[in-house]
Order: sequence, then C-alpha cells, then structure tokens
Amino acid sequence: MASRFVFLPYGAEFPAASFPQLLLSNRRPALAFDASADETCYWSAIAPQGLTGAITVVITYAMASATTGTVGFQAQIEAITDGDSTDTDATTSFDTVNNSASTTVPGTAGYIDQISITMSNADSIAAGDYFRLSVNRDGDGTAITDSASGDAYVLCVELRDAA
Amino acid sequence: MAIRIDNSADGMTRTAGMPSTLTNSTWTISGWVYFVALPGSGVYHALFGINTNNTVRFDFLYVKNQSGVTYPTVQVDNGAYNEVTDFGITFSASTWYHMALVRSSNTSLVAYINGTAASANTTNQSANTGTLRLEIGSFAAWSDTCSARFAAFKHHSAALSAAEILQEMRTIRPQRLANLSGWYPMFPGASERLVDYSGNGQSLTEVGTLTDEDPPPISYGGPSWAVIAQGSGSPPAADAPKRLALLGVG
Repeated sequence: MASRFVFLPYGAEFPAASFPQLLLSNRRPALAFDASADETCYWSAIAPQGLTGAITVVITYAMASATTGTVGFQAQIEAITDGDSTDTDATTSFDTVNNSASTTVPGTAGYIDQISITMSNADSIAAGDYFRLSVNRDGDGTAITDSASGDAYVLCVELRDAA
Repeated sequence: MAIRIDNSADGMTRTAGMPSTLTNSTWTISGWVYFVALPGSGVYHALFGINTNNTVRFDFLYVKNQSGVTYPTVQVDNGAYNEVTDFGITFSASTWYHMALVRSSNTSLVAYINGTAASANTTNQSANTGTLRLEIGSFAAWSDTCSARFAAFKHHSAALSAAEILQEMRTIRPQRLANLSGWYPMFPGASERLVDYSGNGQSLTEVGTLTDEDPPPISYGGPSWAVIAQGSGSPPAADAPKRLALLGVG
C-alpha cells in the first residue's frame, strides 16, 4: 500500500518566530522562504496504516527571482507513538535533520523544480504515529550551499513511503 | 501578509456593506496587530473601528500611553465623547496581539485582547445615524494614526461570543461564516492586500501608501491530504489495478 501525504501551504503551521510568509504567487498559495536566514514551518498528520520502508520528502518550489545559484532544504520528522513519554505541551522531539543536495535552481524564475530528501532520520515513524514534518530552507547555508538570491516559493510538499 | 501603517496619511477604509446606523447594529471587527512603535506619553494611537468619517459619532479601539504604559481604550461618541481604558492590559512593542471590537448592543462595546475581554464601554449609541465606514489603522477625521502592522482582519455583522473570538484567533481563514461581512487575509501586493475574500466583494480602500511586512505566526487553517493507493494481490503487484482513497483532513 503506497502512502502519500500532500502538504499544502494553507495547512502549514508556524513556530513563534523565523517562519516563511504565506502569500499568493500568481494566485497560487506559496510559502516564501528567505534567502539569508533559516525559516521553518510544520505539518501535522497521523502516519497511515501500511506506511512502510524509507520515507522521502519531495519539495516542489519555484524561485521568486533567482535564475542562478543553488538552494538547499532540510526536513525533520517528529513521530510520537501512543504511550511515548513526550510531553507535547512542553517539548519537541524532532529527529536529526535530513539535508537535500545543494540544487541548482531553474534558469527561469517561476519554473518549478522538485527536490527530494531521503529521510534517513525519520524518528522511527510507524503506522498510527502522530507525527509532524518540519521543513526549512537552509538560507544561512550552514549545512547546504544555498546561494540563490531571493525567496524560494514552496508550492507543495509530498511525503512518500517506499511502497 | 501584514499591512504596515507608519504615517498619518496611511489607513484602510470601507463603506460598502456597513450598517446604516450605529444604532441597534451588532458587529465584530477582529484581527492581529503588531506595534512597531507604541504611542508617546499622553498620545493616543488609532487602531480600528467604525465611524462616520467625522470627529463625532463613532465606535473605535485606540491604545493610549498614560504615565509611560500603553493601555487599550474603547471609545464611543454618540454626540458626546466617552472612553473606557482597561488598566489591567498593557502592550509591548514588537509583539503581535489579537484584537477584537464587539458591539453587542447599544450599551455594550467591548474590546478583546488575545481573547480576554477588556473593560466595556456602555455609552448608549441609540442616537447615532450617518453613513458609516470601517476604518483600520487610522482615524483620519481626527488625524490619528499608529505605527503598527495589521493582519488577518475579519468583519462580522454580528456580535461574536468570547469563545468564537478565541476560535477566530487561531486561523487566518474565518471559522464562523455566518454574518461574515468582510475577510481580509491581507496577502502581500498593492491591490491584493486590500481584497475581501468573504465573497461579498467589499474590499478595503487604501489611504496613503501602504506596504507589506511579516505576518503573525498563525496558520491559514487549510487541510492536508493523504493519498493511499492499494493494489490487488498479496503483496500487491506493481502493475496491479490501484484503488485510491482520498482523505481530506481539516
């Protein structure tokens, strides 16, 4: 059973600070990630029955203005199983960050590209877990070379399993 | 997706779809406000409300600085001016606050700050008529302004309860669609920031020069989708017919 989650900009959740701006790009909802600082957003869901194998996150984005340079995105999973001792109103427990490759942006601003991130660190997510997916652009380039100027508009994020 | 007011010439107004009179009208205006700068000592900053584009006859929410501290002030003018200040609520700069102004009867105008009711102004609005307008970020007739950002504003032609205001705080999109008169997500863009998404076509009018700044950290309130495909056989063959289950959540 193949499982796909499609996370849309309108469903994003935000931390108290350093989050992408929700806007419309030619009427398409998008999350605008800054070029120079890391900004993060989340989506929450329940891992479906049949979730199996390696998890991949696919980020569909377009650049607001850049036609050269590279971008890098990072993704993390926090999976909480029934009975876990995670105090959801006081703590977060995301697994180690997973990095994308430093990816050359499309040569025309507005053209989409899709970046895949293999979730080697997926917090042992299992069917039935309450989980959150965290996505950020490595705008400050600490882990991935991110040289493209201007905002990266994330249009959609897909989480796939191995089936 | 927040609108910046930083000049006495700046503001947003709307006359379409407003009550014909302040008398016997019930309504709620709510949204997020971020103080870039607080008023100076003894100064009032205008936030939002309903007026007649005149210095008299209005219901308005202000903040005022008294002895170095900024408080919410609910103002009613029915030909005579009256203000009620809640000294139990104070504001800081560089902080987002959810605010609501609720007219539930001729003798009740209440401000809610982050879901908590401030002192009510019970001045009787029973005598007021005139062409009304919604004004956000200024009170032009008094040349009053503010230095703040405004985001995710909603106007209901009904008095929302405290519980409903708490619900409206958490998403950009309205939770209550009944009596929704105007909904302003304030997406960035010269014309986009003023658009009414309620379906009533009652967009705001820009006054002065508005700009876009960073919004509050609240979700739009949209759904996520799970797509689960299962083929026949055990285990399903890669080329087996697939059955799709589409689940919308939210």
